[in-house]
Amino acid sequence: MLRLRKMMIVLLIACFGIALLSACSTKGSGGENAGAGGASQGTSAEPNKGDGKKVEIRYWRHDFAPEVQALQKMIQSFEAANPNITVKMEVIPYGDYETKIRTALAAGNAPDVIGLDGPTLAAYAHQGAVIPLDAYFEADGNKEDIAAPVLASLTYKDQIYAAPLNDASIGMFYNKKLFEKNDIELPSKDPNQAWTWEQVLQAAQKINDPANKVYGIDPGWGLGEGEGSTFVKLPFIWQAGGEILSPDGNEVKGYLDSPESKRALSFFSSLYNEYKVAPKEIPPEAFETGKLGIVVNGPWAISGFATSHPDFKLGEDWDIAPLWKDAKQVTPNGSWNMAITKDSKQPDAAWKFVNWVTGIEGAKFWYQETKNLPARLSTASAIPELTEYPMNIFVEQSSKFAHPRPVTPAYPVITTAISKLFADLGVSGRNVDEAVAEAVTAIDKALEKYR
Amino acid sequence: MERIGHLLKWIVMIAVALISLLPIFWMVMGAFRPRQELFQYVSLEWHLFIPVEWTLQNFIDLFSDSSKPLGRFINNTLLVAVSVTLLSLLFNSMAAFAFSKLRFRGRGVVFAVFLSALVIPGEVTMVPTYLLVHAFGWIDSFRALIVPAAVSVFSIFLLVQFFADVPRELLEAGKIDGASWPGIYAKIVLPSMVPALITMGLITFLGQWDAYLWPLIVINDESKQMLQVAIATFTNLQATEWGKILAADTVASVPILILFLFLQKYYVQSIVNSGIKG
Repeated sequence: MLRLRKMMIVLLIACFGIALLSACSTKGSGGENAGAGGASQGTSAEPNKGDGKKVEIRYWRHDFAPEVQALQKMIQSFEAANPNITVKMEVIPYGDYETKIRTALAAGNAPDVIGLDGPTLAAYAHQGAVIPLDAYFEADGNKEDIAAPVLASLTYKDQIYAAPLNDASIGMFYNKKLFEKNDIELPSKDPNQAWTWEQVLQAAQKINDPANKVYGIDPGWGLGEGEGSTFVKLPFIWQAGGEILSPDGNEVKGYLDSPESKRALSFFSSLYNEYKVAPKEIPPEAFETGKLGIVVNGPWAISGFATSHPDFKLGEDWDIAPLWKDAKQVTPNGSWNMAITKDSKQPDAAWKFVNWVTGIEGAKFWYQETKNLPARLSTASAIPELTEYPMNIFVEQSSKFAHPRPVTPAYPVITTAISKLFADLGVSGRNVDEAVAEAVTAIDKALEKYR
Repeated sequence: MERIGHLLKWIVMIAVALISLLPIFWMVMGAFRPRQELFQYVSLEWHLFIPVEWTLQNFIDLFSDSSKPLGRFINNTLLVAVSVTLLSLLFNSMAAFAFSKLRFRGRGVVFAVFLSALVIPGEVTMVPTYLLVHAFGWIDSFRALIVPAAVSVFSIFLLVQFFADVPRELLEAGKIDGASWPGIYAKIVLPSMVPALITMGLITFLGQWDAYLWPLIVINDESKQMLQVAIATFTNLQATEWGKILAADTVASVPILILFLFLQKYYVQSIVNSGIKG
């Protein structure tokens, strides 16, 4: 019996040891965080509304160093201007950002402000996870200054649920050396003089040389999954004159399977199967290493290429043309936004922060720091660089030709179905009618729940 | 005839070893290349594996980035992995000892309930565990990582298999000499189970070292983040920093390789033992 007791004591000591260890380490790291960590547990646990009292806003976003650094600067200036509010930003790896947010929302432990990718908005809004911002926008949000297609992409059931950090658009990036080598006339840099699908196909055919590992075109970021992949592929359907859903977002039949949509899908499939100008398997960074003639990409890639491949120079080795067109000229839009969650106990302070970052002055600073396509008209007119090549292409496209992705809580199903549809057509050259019917059934089933 | 068989066996084994080692070799060599040439060589040639231009820049970038202190992440991960391993060695071995050697009412039922937990995937229990940990107020602290991992059904099951091999006579002899059950556990069973414990410890440590989803969910403060989650941040929406990822993976593999180097003798031994015992 004595032995047993001794044993228990040892056990207890072990337990305490571990508890102490972890407690110490929490304190240690909180201290290094300039006291921010220490204060957090107190304020976030209980509601705090007093005017004189310090309020802490927790803010989660996905990790991307240049943007995180820009936000750190904005948080500093915000805290200086609002001494009773502190902002604690926590960054999360992009790949599992949604997993983390959803778990925290399920536990009622979500931060005050979250970064939100445009197409996920409706799902969060539908569940009541984020709150409408209309009243705030009326008061001091300068709503009229936000580009109309962007605002449309943030509106679910006539209410605005997020404030845009920036917009996004894509263009046709081409390898100038490969064009010149194959005697292809270079495409115009004028946003109103976009190439047609046929012109793009002809150029890709001339460049394509699989024997020497040089490929014509990657029309839509490979054939993988993910929202980025859907984002760059959807324009094909819109360009042909098709749609994904009905304008009210309730019907997919008659839209995704319309003759126009099918023509777009057949064209996409033919690049891979009939003309074989698009490789089914592409080595990573093929464009930057000179193995690919034409790709789609966005303004973020300009600085991205400059840091990752400094010898691959804009203007010398590659250039940007407006995104191709067919029956219509259409480009995708929408990007990351900031929203306030239902778990926030101080939505007014949270809005102050959101408006600091996404408001008129904030948006200008955000552009200077990140070079992301602005969502506010005032930014576009205030900065000369945005009216010059290459940024003017993206700016003009998003004001004239932008088309928001469908705003519906079923969007997660749509993005999966669409990327699968394009992959089926590209990789295995499936029959277009069959593949579309399958996608329509999947999307229709998802829409059913929200009708 | 026997010689040909041996030769064949050797060839197959070398081929398997090469297939397993090539990706690791590519990773290590990739960590020493400049970014531009990482994907420059894609066909099977010499430079697919051997850098044209050797550089330490990836490692310099990795360790000089003050916003992502890798050393700190390694420390965090070591602290958690070692704590979990020690605690799980203690708790799981005691549980396994009880299930395999003690006779008490309901043992079969309790053990069956325990084992049935094996078929529940971790993703299913993730949200309930998160709610529990949240209710304890442990979110964003190492306790959330250590305590739920201290008991593992798989480890108990594994150890029960080994403990079953300890002859009852040995325990009875101990009993006759006046030892209590804890005494028998500590002085007779544990010393004869060192290879099994090392195997379990290794598996636990490796699991913790590579843990990703759970730390991602429960840790918010970046300064408390775990290694694998930190490495995942090198892939973002716009780009993947391959050089840094390969360098970080190389660094992250070193402790595991060292551990295996010293402990593989026991590891192999326990697998062999459990395999041919019967």
